[in-house]
Amino acid sequence: MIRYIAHRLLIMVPTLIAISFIVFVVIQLPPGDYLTTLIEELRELGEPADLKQIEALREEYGLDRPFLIQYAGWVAGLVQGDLGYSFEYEQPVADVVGDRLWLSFIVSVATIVFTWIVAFPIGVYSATHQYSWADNSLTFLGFLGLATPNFLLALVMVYFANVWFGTEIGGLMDERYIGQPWNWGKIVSVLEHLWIPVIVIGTSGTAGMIRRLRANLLDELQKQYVVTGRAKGLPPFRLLVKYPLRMSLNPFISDIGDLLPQVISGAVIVSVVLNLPTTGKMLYEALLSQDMYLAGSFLMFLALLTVLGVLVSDLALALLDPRIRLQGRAAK
Amino acid sequence: MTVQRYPRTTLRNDYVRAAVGVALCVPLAAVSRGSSFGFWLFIGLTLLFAVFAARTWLRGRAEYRLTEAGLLRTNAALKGQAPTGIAWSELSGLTLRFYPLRRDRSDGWMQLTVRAAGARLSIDSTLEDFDAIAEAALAAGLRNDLPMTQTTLANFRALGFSPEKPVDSG
Repeated sequence: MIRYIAHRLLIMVPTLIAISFIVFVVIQLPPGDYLTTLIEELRELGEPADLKQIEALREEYGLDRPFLIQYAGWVAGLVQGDLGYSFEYEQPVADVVGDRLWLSFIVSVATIVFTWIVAFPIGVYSATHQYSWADNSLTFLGFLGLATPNFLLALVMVYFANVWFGTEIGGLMDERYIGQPWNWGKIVSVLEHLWIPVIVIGTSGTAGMIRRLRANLLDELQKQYVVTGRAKGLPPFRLLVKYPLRMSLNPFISDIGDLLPQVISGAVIVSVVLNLPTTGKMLYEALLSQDMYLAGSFLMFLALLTVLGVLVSDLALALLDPRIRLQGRAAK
Repeated sequence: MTVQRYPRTTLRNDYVRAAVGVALCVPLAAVSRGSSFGFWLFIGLTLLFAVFAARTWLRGRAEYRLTEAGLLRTNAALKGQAPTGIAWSELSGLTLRFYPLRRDRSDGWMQLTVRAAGARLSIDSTLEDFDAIAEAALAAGLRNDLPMTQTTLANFRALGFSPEKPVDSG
């Protein structure tokens, strides 16, 4: 196993280095920098920009340095836990981000748990009761969930909560807890507000996972070993759980790598609609204003989640399903 | 009796991997602050690659002797330590796993683990004449009526061996 872990890690570390370089190139790609955007904004507002002060700021922020020097400084900072400086907020990125990364993580993990808890029993039921009335209804609901954009669902829920219940469902905690240190009341408040974004963000993923689990399980259930087991009188539940269900779970495990970043990046527009204090809205604004270190830190966070997720799913797959494909052959 | 070792190319590639891993992680650990999470993370990764290098060195010094009676591993690096042997007649556990390097499982290596009387040997498919050892282990497993998982059976089939016990015609 250590050889396998070393192989995977050796791919992971250079991958992250390459991603960091690409991220830095991408956030530098738009013409100009944060300060040129600031000059344009001031010009649009009819306010004169003090060019001397702008030059001084450019020097202070290191924007006049060569690209590679800027990149090396940024990466060295990241490794040390220094995420850089946000031009827009005039604060270190770590202070700007504050609780947002944690809240994003909480919303994402809750969404994934919701997706699995809902998708798993429905997918299994649909596959084992193919073309029944319940399967057709759940399939219809699944397609509806897949076809409904998350932000639209968020808008609909905000509207009906206001019209029917006269309440605002935006945000992730009561206003009195915003910016306050964590305590029991704040945790309870987050939990009370969490279910709306979790349902909104998780619906399409849940629908997609139901469809995939149903399809995979149907494939397995039609294989000869299941027919043989059934003919030999194995109890149906034991026969289902022993092999077909295990085999059909492989796509769930291999999806771990994609799920976390998808949930976080897919929640950007939802976070704007529901006014969530997560990273989505801030990433969007940072990209617009060319706040490069803030945007870069977010993008690196997403990349880290992806790479870690892929590592976890690869290790889990190697442990849970150590089969070679029959058409394949072990390499020497 | 045949004697098998891990080929030099395989060992060289693993040494290169370990060296690249250490070479990447040591500077990153040095750049990180002494007390930060990053520092300990990269120190941990460096140690992992160092252990991998040490393991590769041990594998390079190991020799496997396949006989009709069993499989014996001797290691020149472990002087004074008795060789580890598995007698086919006492074989009590047999597992064949696959470690994929690609999502489509088109690349990777197999690992054969055999157990008998408290001893355990694990060998990778990169070992010279791995197929002969796998075939001998499978034959012994079938003779001893060893229970084998569906995964192990499928992997033996992928190697081109039939893991079904021959029908006694006599």
